[in-house]
Amino acid sequence: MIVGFLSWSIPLQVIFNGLTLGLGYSVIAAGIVLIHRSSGIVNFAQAAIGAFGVATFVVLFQNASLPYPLAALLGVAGAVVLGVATELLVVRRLFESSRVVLLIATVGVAQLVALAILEALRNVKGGPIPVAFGARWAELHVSKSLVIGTRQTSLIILVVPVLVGLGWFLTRTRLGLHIRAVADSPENARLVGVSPRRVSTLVWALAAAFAAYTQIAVAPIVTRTASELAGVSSIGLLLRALVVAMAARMRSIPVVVASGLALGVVESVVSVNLNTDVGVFNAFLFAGVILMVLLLARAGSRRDVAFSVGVRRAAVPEKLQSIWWIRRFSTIAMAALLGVLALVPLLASQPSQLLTWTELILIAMVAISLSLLTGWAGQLSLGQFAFAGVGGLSMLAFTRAQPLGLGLPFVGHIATLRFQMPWGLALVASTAMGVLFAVVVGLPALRVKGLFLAVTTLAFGYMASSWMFGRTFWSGGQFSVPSATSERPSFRGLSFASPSAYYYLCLGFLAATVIVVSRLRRSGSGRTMIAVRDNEAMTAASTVSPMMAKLSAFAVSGGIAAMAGSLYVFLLPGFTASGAQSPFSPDASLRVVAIAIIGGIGTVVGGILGALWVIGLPALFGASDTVQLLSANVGLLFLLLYFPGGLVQVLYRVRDSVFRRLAGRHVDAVPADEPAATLTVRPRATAPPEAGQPWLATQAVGVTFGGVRAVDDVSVEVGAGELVGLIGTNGAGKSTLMDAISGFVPHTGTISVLGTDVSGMRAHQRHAIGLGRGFQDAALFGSLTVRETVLVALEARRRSLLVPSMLGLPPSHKWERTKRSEADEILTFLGLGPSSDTFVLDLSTGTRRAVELACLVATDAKVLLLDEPTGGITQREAEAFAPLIRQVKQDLGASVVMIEHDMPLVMSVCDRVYCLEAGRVIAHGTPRDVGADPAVIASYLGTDERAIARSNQADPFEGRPVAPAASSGFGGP
Amino acid sequence: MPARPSVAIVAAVLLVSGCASAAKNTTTQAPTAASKTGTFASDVTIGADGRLVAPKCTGTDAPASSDGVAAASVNVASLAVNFASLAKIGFSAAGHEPPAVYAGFVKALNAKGGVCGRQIDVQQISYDILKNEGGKACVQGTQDRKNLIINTASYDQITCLTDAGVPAYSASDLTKGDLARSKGLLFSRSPLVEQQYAATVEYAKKVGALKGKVGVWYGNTFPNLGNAVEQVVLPMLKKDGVNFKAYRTDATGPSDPDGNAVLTSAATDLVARKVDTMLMFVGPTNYTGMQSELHAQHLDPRYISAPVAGNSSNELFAKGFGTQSYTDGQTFVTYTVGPNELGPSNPIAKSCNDQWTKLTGETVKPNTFDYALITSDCVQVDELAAALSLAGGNLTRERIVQALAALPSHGAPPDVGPLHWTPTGRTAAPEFSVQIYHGKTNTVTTEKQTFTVAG
Repeated sequence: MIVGFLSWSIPLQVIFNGLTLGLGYSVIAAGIVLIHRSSGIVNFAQAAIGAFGVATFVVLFQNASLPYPLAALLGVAGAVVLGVATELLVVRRLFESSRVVLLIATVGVAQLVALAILEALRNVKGGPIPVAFGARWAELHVSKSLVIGTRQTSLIILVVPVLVGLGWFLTRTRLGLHIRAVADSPENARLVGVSPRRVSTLVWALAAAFAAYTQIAVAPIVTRTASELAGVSSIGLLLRALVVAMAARMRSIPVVVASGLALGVVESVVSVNLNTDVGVFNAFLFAGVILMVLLLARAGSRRDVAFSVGVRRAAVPEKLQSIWWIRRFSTIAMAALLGVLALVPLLASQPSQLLTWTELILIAMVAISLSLLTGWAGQLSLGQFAFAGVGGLSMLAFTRAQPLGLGLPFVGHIATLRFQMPWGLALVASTAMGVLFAVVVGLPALRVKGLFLAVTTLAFGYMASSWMFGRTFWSGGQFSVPSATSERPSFRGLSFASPSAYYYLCLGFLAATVIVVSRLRRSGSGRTMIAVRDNEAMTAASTVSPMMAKLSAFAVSGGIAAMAGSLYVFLLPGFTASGAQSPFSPDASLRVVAIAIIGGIGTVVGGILGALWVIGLPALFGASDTVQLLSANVGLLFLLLYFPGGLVQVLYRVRDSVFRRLAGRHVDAVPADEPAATLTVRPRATAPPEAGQPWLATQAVGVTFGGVRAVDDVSVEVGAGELVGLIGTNGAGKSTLMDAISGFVPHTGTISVLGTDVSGMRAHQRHAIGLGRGFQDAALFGSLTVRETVLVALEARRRSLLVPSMLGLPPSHKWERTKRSEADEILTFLGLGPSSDTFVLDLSTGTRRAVELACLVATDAKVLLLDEPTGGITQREAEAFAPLIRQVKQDLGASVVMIEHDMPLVMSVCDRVYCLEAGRVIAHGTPRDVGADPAVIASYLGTDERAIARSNQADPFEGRPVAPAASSGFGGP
Repeated sequence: MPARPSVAIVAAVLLVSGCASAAKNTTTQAPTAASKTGTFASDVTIGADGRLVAPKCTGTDAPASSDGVAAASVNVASLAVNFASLAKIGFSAAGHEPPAVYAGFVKALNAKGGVCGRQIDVQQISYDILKNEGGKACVQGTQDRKNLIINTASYDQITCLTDAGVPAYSASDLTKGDLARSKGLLFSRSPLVEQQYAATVEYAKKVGALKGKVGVWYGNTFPNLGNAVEQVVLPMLKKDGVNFKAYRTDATGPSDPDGNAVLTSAATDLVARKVDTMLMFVGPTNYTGMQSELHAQHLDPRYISAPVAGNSSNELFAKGFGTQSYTDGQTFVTYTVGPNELGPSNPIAKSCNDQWTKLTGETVKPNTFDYALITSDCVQVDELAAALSLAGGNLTRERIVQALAALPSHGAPPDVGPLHWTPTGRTAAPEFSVQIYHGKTNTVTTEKQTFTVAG
């Protein structure tokens, strides 16, 4: 192929056709970008809403015989109504939910709209999309080799100006400014009188109008007839639009247009020249997506929002924790659910019924794998069933010795390998294939959050089912893969050939998956996955590599999906490996996402509940249209609207209600915590620097953001045991300097921590040296409890091992017990014992700051970077902070760098102070010296005499006894 | 999201009823020597109305239940895509579902005492192809209960059925590879795909359509059909030195972005070449998509197509996709007649539909899709009855296969030629005609003259 590329035919007409093809993609992408900019939502229904407008237009024009312009106008109006209705009834209700819930909601809307289109067009007189305007433009013969057809002329004249206008609108009009304002910060926009809700509705109306208008113009190019309109919701078209939107980073309309045109040209050229290699363009598309991710993506900032999800399960009330069946309620409930599933073969007598139920079990496994990846690690995969396909088709390749041809570019074929493995070994190998593919697919995109990974996995799934699975190794060279039901395993005389035996085998694997994944959740590896989702920077500050945590999630998820796929291929009576009929199609992947959401993503039981709803309900109640609607489109939307946490949310509410009532009847006394007298200080893992050497030193550090020099040639030093303050106006570069020290932003200059040059190290590596970080927002990990948060920090002492944790192998149990004990000690020391099981999200700012301190203790940090530690806390808590930080510093033997605006605090606790302005150090020295420095006074303190007097006050806390932690003012929600 | 159907699959499925009868079919045929295989004691004859007449049963042995056979009953299945579900995607469904029609005729048979003392129990399996329910349908037919034989035209399921060892009859559009894989268990109502394609090229050559510039548009969501073009058609064209350019699409249609890109590029190139004739070996949506694209680029070549969906509904597609006005005169090489051509003038069709009226009280309008569906299913039940009678009391899957292969040559509307399965031949004879489409009236006419190609 590579050599042949040089002889490709690239006629001008083909390029032009590609441009018009790409224009069609740009149109849909522009609508997606418009909505994403205003609300952060990826609207999978964008094309469908536009198609609805076209369908309305067709019905009015062809059936009602309205004039073309009137019918087109009403078509656009119809789309606007649908868009606004979607925003008001679906998006607005779900706005506080996670982005992945909203994404799936738009998938549900797209499905319903497609059905509505088909229904509306059922009685249409038929025929092609009318192109009345097209007839007025003459065909343009530009040259012998280039003719611009009337439809293309129509497209260019009608669509290009609107695209240009859209870009102008977003950047030059007041409404466009409002849209961008709301996109950046809805809260701030509200403060200046811009209503985010009104803007959102306007944007959806605008996007719908744009989609309908342009699709009425584009439809004759992209679709041929009215009956094909429903196909605009095809995943292939959506994928192309998403890729184009991604190339523009979901921001720039001009880049959307340019990217769409480029994509169309490439597709057109490839289609002409590689015509007989079916689906090969999708391989190009996937490769392009990977390249784009590598080139365009940048690491997300702390402020980027991942696809966070979650319905949280409240802790068991303390009063009831001694009751064993309450403590183990979840385990008992899960066992009961599996027990009910075990009864199915007794009730479902027909093999075809068992086929459905076995399929349900295996899909539940894939849904659980997705729950782990998306629900815990916040990485949205839209190609999960492709990993199942990798596993399944590998399994057949390994058991049937299908040929694997190996070759190199320019060299050609080298060898053909065949593997003939027994069933068990093949299962392990195919699972490993799933892990490998998941890691390879996920690796480029894991540097960034959100949409990039989702589109990458969607592109992978599309490429796999349309092209890759058609290769000989995967398909065995046959379009229709022969049934493998007769190749089911047997073990020590026990055959799993019969439908019921195979059902039980699969149920066993589901149970094993539940156990393993549940173990993972309770382990450090599981906690770090959730931590990375909630707060990647904090995770790195806890010495955990966010990249490794995400990769672990991807690997485990891919492995489970592949295992499910390996079992799946022995269930099917025969199937097509690739193409639209493949069981591993992108549709199947989207279905699994919907199943996981319906059940409750982020939970293990959710995958099973979702599968029961979507597959089990129709199996139980027959194939009536009502059941089909409830278990799919309508049911999906209904659940999402009222129970965005999924079915499990309903169960949790019932459970919590029952527990509350039971707790009300229990009056057992709970013994009060005894505060620990001291904290066990662990020896430092890193050797201390030589005496006299600074524990933290920055030398000519600089940070630049897009031409702005945020930190300019800053050199600071912090000695052993020192407490150094960083003061300055907002925007002086204090937090940026801390970020540079932590490794969260690239910088010039050198930084050393405890005598080690960390300039080239990643964030988590720096923190492993002995750096500790407290953040301005103290966000911590909202989905974790206080204890779990400290346990994440304790990974610094003892890193959890992934596989032993999942399988319950030593030393995972012992290490977990040790870490729990250490966590409790730290929490008690800081007076946080009563809050141990409280979710961080439910804590006050002050208590979160204390938890943050606990994390610093847990990481045995020796150089603490605290960013406005008293920000957002009460006066009482602020007053208690000074003695607390002194105590922690003393007990840990640490040095501290503190950014603060509370001048009395700074003056009272700091040994030295640096003052920054415009990224440079303008003064440094003792607090008194700095407070009296004229430059500091002019820049930061102001010229008011009272301010100057306050800044030079003696320590207001001097002479006061240090209060025990329990009564420090911290330690409660 | 619902899976977009392969229109080719749908089109193939539409063959399940076949369509109108052969306008030129003879009224009676004498039993042929094929039935005198020595394996069976009786002969199957042809009645005055052209229908198969089941012989007397021989042998009263009733083996232990096996392969769906019991002393007093025999299990068969009728498996087909649910037409009502196809309505969702704009395909006008017939008013009847094939399994129900099949079961209706079987009911009549049972009312007369069944065959060889056995009642025929029909398992009706109707599945929604849009929801990928084919696999489950196959399991229903092969595992939920044992069936002696399955009547189906679902191309997507024939592999599954025969892999399970169940004979299937009335399949359509099989390749040599499909037949080889089926190990003799498949019986097709159509000539081999390779023969259909060869016939198309032969016809085009015969009418001089290959003298100028030729475009070839081929492919199918079942890649083996596209492969057959590469194995048969392209070598034929090369051998004859035809000036041609071929493009392949395995997409479902132009609404699929993959399909749209290929179609647009191919059309552009073909317009640039100013092709005189288009040879079409694609499904209906790709077929009409190419026509509309070429027309939009001001090229209206001559269209000669291989049989599309058994030519059972070419006019429906033309109307549905709006190509009527500029495809007048397009020709389809065909092995069946169009639905609008099958009426009471065909004795088999008349007899079958009269019987249906007696059975159900319903009179189906002649020269319609449903009229053809009823005719075809009726013939297939006749075949079953004849084969069951031939096989006699000792009824196994092997015996029913032998019996079907021993049936005499008989009229099988909508096929233009007779259907004759043999121990070595499982497809219809490669006898073809040409169907001409009339845009103004949206009807088709099948030429009376037929031709054959080498087997």
